[in-house]
Amino acid sequence: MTLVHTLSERLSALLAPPPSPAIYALAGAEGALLDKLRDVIDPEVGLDIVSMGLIRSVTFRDAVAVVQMTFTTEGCPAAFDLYEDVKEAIVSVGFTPQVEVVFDPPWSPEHIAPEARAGL
Amino acid sequence: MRPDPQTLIPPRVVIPPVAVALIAEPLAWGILAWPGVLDGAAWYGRSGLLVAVHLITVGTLMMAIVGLGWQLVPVVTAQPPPPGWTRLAAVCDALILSGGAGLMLGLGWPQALGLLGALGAAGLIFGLCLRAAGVLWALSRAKGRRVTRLWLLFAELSGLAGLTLGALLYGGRAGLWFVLPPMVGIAHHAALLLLGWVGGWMLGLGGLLLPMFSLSAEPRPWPWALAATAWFVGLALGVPAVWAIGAALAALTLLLSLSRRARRGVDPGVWGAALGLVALLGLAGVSLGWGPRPEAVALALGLWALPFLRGVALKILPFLLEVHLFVGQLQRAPTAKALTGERLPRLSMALSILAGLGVSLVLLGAPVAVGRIGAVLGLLGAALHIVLLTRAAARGWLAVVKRRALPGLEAT
Repeated sequence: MTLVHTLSERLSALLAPPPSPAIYALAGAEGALLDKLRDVIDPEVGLDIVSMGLIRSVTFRDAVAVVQMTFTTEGCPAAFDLYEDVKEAIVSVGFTPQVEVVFDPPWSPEHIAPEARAGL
Repeated sequence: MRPDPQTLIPPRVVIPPVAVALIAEPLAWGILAWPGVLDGAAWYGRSGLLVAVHLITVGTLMMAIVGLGWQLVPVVTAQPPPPGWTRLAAVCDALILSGGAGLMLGLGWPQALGLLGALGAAGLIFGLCLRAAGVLWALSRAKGRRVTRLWLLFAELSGLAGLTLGALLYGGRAGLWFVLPPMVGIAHHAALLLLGWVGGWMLGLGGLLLPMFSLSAEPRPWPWALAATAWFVGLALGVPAVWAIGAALAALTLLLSLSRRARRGVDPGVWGAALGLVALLGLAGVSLGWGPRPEAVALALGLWALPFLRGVALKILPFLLEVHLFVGQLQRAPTAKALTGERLPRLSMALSILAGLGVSLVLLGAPVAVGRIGAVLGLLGAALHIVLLTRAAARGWLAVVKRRALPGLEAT
C-alpha cells in the first residue's frame, strides 16, 4: 500500500503543472505598482494583465521600476500596445519604466490567477 | 527586448482577401440554391456547380487563409515579419484577387471568357507561388512552434503540387493534352489543395488560435506532429487510409486540447470549430471504411472546412478589428465580444452547420430540396457573418470617435 501510495504521489508530482512564475500580489511600493498594472486589460479576454499571469516580477532600482512581463504568445499583434500601456502605467505613478519581456517559461492558461479562472 | 510594432500587419494587405472571402461565401451558397445547380448526376463540369465549388475553395477558404496568413505567419514564427513582407503581400494580393476573379469568370462562361479564365488561373497560380516563397522564407527564420511550422510547410508543398495539377486540368478542359484521366486529376487536385493546402493551413493555424482564444494548452506536440505526418504522407502517396489516421489523430488531439479550456462559457466560435473537427473525424471514418469517394469532397467542404473556418473567423476577425481600430489606445477598447454581441455569432454559426448538413445529405440520397434549403440557410448564415462584422466595425469606430470627443470616458 505504501509503495502504491508513494508511486501515486510521485506520479502526481510528475504530471502536475509546474508552479506559475507569475505574481498576483505584493506588499509595499511594489504592491502599489502591481495594483496600478491591474488597469491594463487584455483586450481579448477582458481580464487585467496581473490576473492573466502576465507579470513575472516588479522591482525598484531608485526611481526606475523594473517590470518583467510576458505575453500569451510571441508575435501577438496586441503585444506592442500592451507593452506601451504597462510603461504608461508605471510613468503614471511617478517612476521611470524599464519593462523587460520574457518568454521563458512561456505563458500558459495555468498561469491565470485561480480566482480569475473561476470567473471565465 | 521589447515587442516589435511591425507584428501588427497593415490592414490594407489583410482586409482585401478577407473581404473577398466574406463576399464569396454567400455568392457560392446563392448559386447552390439556384434551381438545377444541385440536381442530377453530372456534378463535375457543370459551370454553375463548378463556379460554386471554386467560390468556396478559392473564393472563401483560400482567400481567408491568404489574408489571415499575412498577419498570422509572424505569430507562428514568433518573429517580426521578414523585410518587405507588406510589399510582397500587396503584390500577391493583387495577383491572387485579380487572378481569382478571372478564373471564376472563365469557369462560369468557358466559351465567351475562356481566355480570361486562363489568364486568371495563371495570375492566381503565380501569386500563390510567390506567396509560398515568402511564407517558406518566413518559416525558415522562425524559432519555436516546430509542429505548427511543419503543418504549414507541408501545406505549402501540397499547395504547389495541387496548383500545378490545377493548371494542367485547366489546360485539359480547354482541349490541351492532359496526362491523367480527368477524374483522377480532379481527385488529386482537390485532395492536394483542399486537404493539403487548405487543411494544412486550417489545422496548423487552428491548432494555435483555438487554444489561444479558448485559453487551453496547445495540442500535445507528439500526437500533433504524428497527425501532420500521416495527413500529408497519406495525401502524397494517395493512400486515403493513412490520411484518415492523420485526420482522426488531428481531430482528437485538438478536441482533447479544447476540452481542457479555461474559458468554459458556450462560445459559438470554439463550438463551431469543434463541430467541424467532429465532422473531420467522421470524414476520416468514411475514408477508412469506403476509400476515396467524390462525395467526400463535399462533406469535407460543407461539414468540416466551412464550419471550422467560420468558428476560427468568429474569434480572430473581431480581435484583429479591435486591435486595428484601437491601436495606441487598446486599454479603452470594448472587448471583442462586446463588439460582436452574442446572438448573431451563434445564429451565423448554427446556420453554417445546418447548411453543410443540408448539402451533404443530398449526397447521401436526400431529396435535392433539402440541399437547396441548406444552401439558403448557408446564404443567410454567411450574410449574417458579414452583418455582424460590419456592426462590430461600426460599434468599434463609434467607440473610437466618442473616446476622441470625450477623453477620459470609459468605452466599456
